[in-house]
Amino acid sequence: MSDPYVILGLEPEADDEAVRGAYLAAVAVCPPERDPQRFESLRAAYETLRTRRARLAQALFDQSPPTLSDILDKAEPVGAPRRPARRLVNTLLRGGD
Amino acid sequence: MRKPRKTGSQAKAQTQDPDRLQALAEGHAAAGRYREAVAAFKDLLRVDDRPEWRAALAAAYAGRARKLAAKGMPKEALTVWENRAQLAPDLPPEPDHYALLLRLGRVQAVADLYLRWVDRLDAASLASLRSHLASHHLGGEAAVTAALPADDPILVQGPIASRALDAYCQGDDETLRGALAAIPFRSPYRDLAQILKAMQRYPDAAEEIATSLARVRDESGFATLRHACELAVEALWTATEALPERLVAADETTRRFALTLAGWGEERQTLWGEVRRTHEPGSQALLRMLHRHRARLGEDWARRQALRLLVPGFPKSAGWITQGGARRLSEEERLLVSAWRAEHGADPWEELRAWKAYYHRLLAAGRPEPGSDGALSLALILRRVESHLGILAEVTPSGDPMSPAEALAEAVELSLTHDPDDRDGYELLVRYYLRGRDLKSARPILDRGLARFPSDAGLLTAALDLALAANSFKKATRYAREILAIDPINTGARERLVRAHLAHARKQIRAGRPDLARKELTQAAEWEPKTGQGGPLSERRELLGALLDLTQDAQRGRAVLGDQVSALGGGISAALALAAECEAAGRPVASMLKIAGLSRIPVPNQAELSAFLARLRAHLDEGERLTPQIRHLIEKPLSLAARWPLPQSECEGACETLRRAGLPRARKAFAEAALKRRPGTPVFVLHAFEARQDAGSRYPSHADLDRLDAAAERAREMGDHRTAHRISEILMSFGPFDLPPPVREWAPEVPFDEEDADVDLGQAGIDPEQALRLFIDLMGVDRLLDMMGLSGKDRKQFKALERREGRAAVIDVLMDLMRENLPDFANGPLPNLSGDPLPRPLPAPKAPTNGNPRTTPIPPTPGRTRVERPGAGSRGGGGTGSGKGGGKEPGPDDPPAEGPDQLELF
Repeated sequence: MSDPYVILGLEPEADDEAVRGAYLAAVAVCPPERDPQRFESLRAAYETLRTRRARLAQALFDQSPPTLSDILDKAEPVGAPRRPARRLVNTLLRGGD
Repeated sequence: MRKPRKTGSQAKAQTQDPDRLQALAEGHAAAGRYREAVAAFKDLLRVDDRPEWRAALAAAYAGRARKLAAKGMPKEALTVWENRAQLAPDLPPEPDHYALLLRLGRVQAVADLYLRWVDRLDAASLASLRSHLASHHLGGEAAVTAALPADDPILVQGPIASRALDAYCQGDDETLRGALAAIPFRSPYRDLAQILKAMQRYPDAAEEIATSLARVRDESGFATLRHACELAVEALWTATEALPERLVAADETTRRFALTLAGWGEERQTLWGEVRRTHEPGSQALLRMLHRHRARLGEDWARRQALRLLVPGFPKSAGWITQGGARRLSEEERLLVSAWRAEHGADPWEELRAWKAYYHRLLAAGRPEPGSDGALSLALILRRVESHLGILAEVTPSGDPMSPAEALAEAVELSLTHDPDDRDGYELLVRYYLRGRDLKSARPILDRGLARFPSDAGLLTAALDLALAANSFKKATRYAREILAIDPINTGARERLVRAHLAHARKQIRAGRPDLARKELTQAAEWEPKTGQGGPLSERRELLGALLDLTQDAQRGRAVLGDQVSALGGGISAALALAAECEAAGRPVASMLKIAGLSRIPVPNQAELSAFLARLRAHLDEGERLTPQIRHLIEKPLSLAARWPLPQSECEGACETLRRAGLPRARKAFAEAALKRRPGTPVFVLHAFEARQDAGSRYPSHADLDRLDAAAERAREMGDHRTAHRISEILMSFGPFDLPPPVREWAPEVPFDEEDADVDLGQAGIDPEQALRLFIDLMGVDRLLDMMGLSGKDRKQFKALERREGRAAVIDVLMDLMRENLPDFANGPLPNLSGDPLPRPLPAPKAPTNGNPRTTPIPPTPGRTRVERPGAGSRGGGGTGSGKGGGKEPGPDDPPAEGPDQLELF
């Protein structure tokens, strides 16, 4: 499915301006030359939500089932890489679980 | 004292040849059968305690220990390692041995090993052993500190390594760099330094990181950390959906380490782990997950996703939602999921029905305010099937009750009452009705659209086209001007406007108003696109001007027309252009051609032929058609021009253009000429066959069909799949069992039973008339006329009708005759059309004798011919075929029939 709201980090009540703002911000972070695939998904999400009619149509007619990844993205999207905690590294240094 | 009994293996060892036993032991070891190898080497040592056999047994122990550890039997593995150490105490400890010891918490044992071997191991082995202890020391294993002397490098360099690790975890790269610089090259923490230095650059430079990590050997005590880092690097190259699958095999800590580095938060990792634990990633597990975490995910969002999960299995899946703990589907939700499900089928009617049901359900809740989300939603629902299938944008209104187009148009029109600002809806409908020339339906929609969008170029263009279709040239001109005022470089509108003026000029010529026609031509010249000057539009304008001149000043007109014909290159090209214009302007074609010196069109030379074909193609591309008069005029010279040796591609193009133009004789000539030059070329075999059929040839012979079959095979061999496919379709249409396709659309599905075997075509859902029409078409009218035994005069009349009106018209007449004369024709079995010749007409039979309608001969009609039905013999019955119930067999006591069973055709 890849929920376009999740892709653009938008709330369900987002309007035209919010959609455009989120799209431009996302493209600035991830321009097409850096990650063409990600850019394509941003572009597709933007087109899906660009206008009020498009947003209503998405709500009414998008029937693609969610994947586990979609649900996880909705619960907590993948963020920036983070360094692990020392205790986690210590466990690995002692040979893991 | 009794002598102790020898065990089996001892006995075997003493009886077996050592060489054979050694070979056996080595074979087991080489094949990884370490348990058997251990046993065999033990047997050998019983025979003779040789050092090489002892070393081989130690190696077999090591292999066996590793195998047990891999199977998840660490304690058993450790026992085997200890056996190895006892067997060969001088052998240095293996990394897997002390790694296992550490894994089992036997730190002191490893420290002992280290202290015992620290001075005897080679550099690599010592580095490996030290790195294991260093790793555990850094990981907080207090026993290492207690077991080692204070000056051991593991303890001495521990604090700096720990500082580096802390700095890394806290993201303090500056401190990290300083700490890493302080770790010596030969430090027990060298591998850690290598790993941290690489991971400092994460997530950038993934390839360089991977290369650096690969330098840390598997024997290192930091290999576990390296492996976790490698997984995190892989995550950079793996789609988010696939990432966890790669981590399934890793242990919990490694997975958490890699996922954290990849940006997965705690909650995301926990949710993922929850689903992984159920081992059921299917829809029902996701439904449960959505319900359980609906507060976190958002109630509405979770519910909507749940509905989407139901679609593939709906309506059976409707129950899953309650099994997952959620409330049951409301009526509205049920209708929505039904509509989604309907889109999976290929039935537009079903989609329409499902979406309309949902629409009515929403509407029942109250008519929303215009412009509100509710109103827009209703409009979108009404337009859904069209936006999903795109039917109206393609089809022409046909009045066919099986086509959903009309219902779709109604739905789109209704949607405009909820959403009058949908510009596309107006244009879609206007264009749809325009294609069917239903101007009455198109006009009010266009007016509503233009009232909302008065400056919309698309709608104005549709208005221009509508005006042209209605021959309202003034209106068309006005619209074209409006379009050009908005968009001055709109070439399409300019061309439309020029066409409109030309069309208007023709209309005025037909109306006998040359003055007004001239005015239109002047305006056409003004609006002609600059790029189009000298093109087809100016040609037409100039030809029309010449025709006008002829009506006003014959001498001048002749001269102008002559100039125009010369400018067009004379010959067949000029004839086509002039004849087309004459037809359109209502001028006599033959006399105009005569005036232009084209009363006899010469056979074009090769260059003229190429130019003519290009002109004809352009003419057809513009949607123009050739009238019968023009076809008659050009077909002969064109056929004679087929002798020119055109290149194959041009010849193919010529055949295709002639097909489109409806010139079968010329097409046949080109195809046959091409076949003479390139015998057997499939595409020309196809064109020759089709052209013969279009020219009114009889039912194809077996030789014709065999030729086609061979051509299809050749086309496939040559990779010309398009031609092969076209030929195959023709062959199928002439196949012996080529009945109309199953009529699922209207025939109810009835399970097959034995009685079906006797059902005639009509009962099977195939229209008998349709089948009979097909039979006549396949066998050919000539053959049917032969079978009827008609006189030469009658046959001539039919043939003339066929030439004039076409085969379909003749079949219609024959069908009408049968309908009139065969009482059961409309719903009964088919008449005998097996191909057996029907006997000659016979005199009419006498009056009925027994009153049974099935055995009553048809009363004679004056002027009609009665044809005896073959094989009827003494059978009674006025039916037309031999289907069941067609009449009873006469019994021995039945009175003899008065005459033969007869079929009345004329």
